[in-house]
Amino acid sequence: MPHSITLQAEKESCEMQFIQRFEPPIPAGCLKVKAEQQVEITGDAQEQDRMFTEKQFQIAYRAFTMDVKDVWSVSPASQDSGKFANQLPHITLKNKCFPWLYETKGQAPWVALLAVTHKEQQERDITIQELLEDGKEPYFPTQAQPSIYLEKGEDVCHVVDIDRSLFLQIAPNGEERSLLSHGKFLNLLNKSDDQVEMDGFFSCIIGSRFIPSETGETIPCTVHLVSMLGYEDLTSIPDTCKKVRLVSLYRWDVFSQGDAQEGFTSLMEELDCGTIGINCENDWLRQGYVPKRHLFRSGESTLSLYRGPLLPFENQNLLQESPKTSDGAMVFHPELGMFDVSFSTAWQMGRLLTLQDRAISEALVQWRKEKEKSLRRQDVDGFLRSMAKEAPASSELASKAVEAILTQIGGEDETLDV
Amino acid sequence: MKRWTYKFHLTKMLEQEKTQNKGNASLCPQEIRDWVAQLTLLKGVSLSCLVGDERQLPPESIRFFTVDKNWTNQLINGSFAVGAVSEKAETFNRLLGSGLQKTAQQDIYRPRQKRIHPNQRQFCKQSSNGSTDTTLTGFLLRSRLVGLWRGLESTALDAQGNPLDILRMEQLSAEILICIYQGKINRLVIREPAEGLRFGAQGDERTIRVRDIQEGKEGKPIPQKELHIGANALGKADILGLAQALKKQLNTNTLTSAELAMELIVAPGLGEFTTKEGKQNEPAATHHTLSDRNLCDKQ
Repeated sequence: MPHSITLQAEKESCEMQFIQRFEPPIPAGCLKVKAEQQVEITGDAQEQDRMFTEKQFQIAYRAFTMDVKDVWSVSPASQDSGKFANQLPHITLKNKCFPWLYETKGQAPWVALLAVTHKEQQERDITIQELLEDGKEPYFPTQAQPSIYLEKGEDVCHVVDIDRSLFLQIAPNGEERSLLSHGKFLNLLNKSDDQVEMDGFFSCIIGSRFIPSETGETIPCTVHLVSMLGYEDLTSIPDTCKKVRLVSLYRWDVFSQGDAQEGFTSLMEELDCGTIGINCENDWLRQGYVPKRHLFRSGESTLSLYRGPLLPFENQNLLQESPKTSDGAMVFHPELGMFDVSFSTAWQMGRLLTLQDRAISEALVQWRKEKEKSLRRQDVDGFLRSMAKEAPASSELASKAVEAILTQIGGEDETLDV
Repeated sequence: MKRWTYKFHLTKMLEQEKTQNKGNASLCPQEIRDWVAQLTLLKGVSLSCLVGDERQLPPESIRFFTVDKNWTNQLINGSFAVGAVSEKAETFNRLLGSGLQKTAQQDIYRPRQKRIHPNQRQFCKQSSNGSTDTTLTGFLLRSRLVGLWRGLESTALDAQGNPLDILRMEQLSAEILICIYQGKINRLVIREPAEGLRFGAQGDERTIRVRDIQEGKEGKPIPQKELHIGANALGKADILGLAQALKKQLNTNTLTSAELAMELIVAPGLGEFTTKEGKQNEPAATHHTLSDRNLCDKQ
């Protein structure tokens, strides 16, 4: 049973749970499904029979590439610069089982995060066929790669070559990798609308090396998510090889500046804060209006005032009647001699948005039709009842006649002779 | 022979219906009610219509606003005008459509609520303050932050300190985020995303404050307990050494990746903004303060 720990900050609606590991639902490999049925006939003609069937199937995951859609976020952010010297990079994935997809010794994750400077590495794209060829320099543990994988031989993967001695010094061993990968369950309710749709489970892999930095210098650096299959035991790398080759599943660049401010806080501090109006002497501009070019239907052009739905202050709610056209919602400001087209724009926008959505425009028309029908039926029912009261004998006849009225919807006035 | 005359008055019937079902939204199919709620939250309204001029939302800025109910009412009126070519349809819109603008208030939670994943529902609280304040306020954030920190979190409080419900929070472009709340924002906190909290140490000494793992006290820093993260010449952290030291400090035999992750979290960055009450028709003065507190530091 994986271990977990929950953080709960009181009053704050922030909660997160750290989970040691998630098992993949089915491990990769060849699997067999066997179904067996035993039939027994009791009584005189006793008989027994066993029937069974077997089906083989394979479960394969990607081993040399990954779906970028699985990556939720990375830290430090891609292409970001700042003081990262005391930060361990990390990657958050939406697939909660990803680090544990392949079985390794000691249930350690099969991936690790390595931060290397641009000087320390050579990157390139090669085909998987080329990667799996034996006995090539730089060293790559071809034998330890999974026998079943989703990619084809001609698919391209990204590899990074680094010095063996450097690799031995910065790569985490199995025990360290187990400590550096964890799962998370989070409260997402303070996030945007498309994010509250997610289930809240993530997996996270932390790098083992602090991001290389030097005071007064900007160090370009790439963080690689590498496959550690075949590198589980670091001592198994032959001494004769100079370089080792690693499959980089995902990578991003960061620029470490020895003495710059940290990213999030510095960007927050620089934010210009205010209300939506333009901050100036003019009252109209300050209240959110902007002048806009306005073309009339008749062909003339003028400048008119426009204000969007976002106001820099709270206003009164005046429930307006709907105009027949958008021009009907124009307001004239005599003190400026200018039209205010804000509400006409709103009206037009509402019309266009509805027309764009066919289902909703149909539903609107349908609703009006249905409503009228039901009101008419209600009205006729009332009429019938009053008629029946006055002349009970004729009520049956009358109901037939009224049915006839209902079929001819649209007429405002009907006369019945009974 | 008796003669009966039957006359149908749509206007009369509609008026009757309106007074009978005062404020009852069941008059209208849910589909249309949801659509009206979406319009009230300005879904689909283009950015150029929301912000008329770039000077209203310059790069690297945050702008607070109140949603103009008059504007959204006209938006809904325009929407109902579709297919209304006869006098009858107009009467209909006038009498029932305008009622919908008021009842939309009941449905305003639905667009977001519908999307919440079943796993996340446990965190939903009923609108805690139960206030009748129907004002919609919010902010537009235009900053590189939006693109760089995917999954920014925002919490807003009203003047009484009650949390406000998010009705809509959506990224409009690579750098622009809109967020609309029910009620008046008094304090707003924007946080670094929790799933992306940084790991590492503080200061050049690379020290971490040891946090408690005991049940009920998880995450609270233990006073005077600090640890130094060792690293080799190339900057590789001594993870096993750190794990050993933590085990000793915490008096425990098991230390898994879950505990280690919690110990390594760096205090998340957050920005705090406070709005000052402005006069009617006068833009409210806004200022903001910043703090880099640790969520877990709170006692």
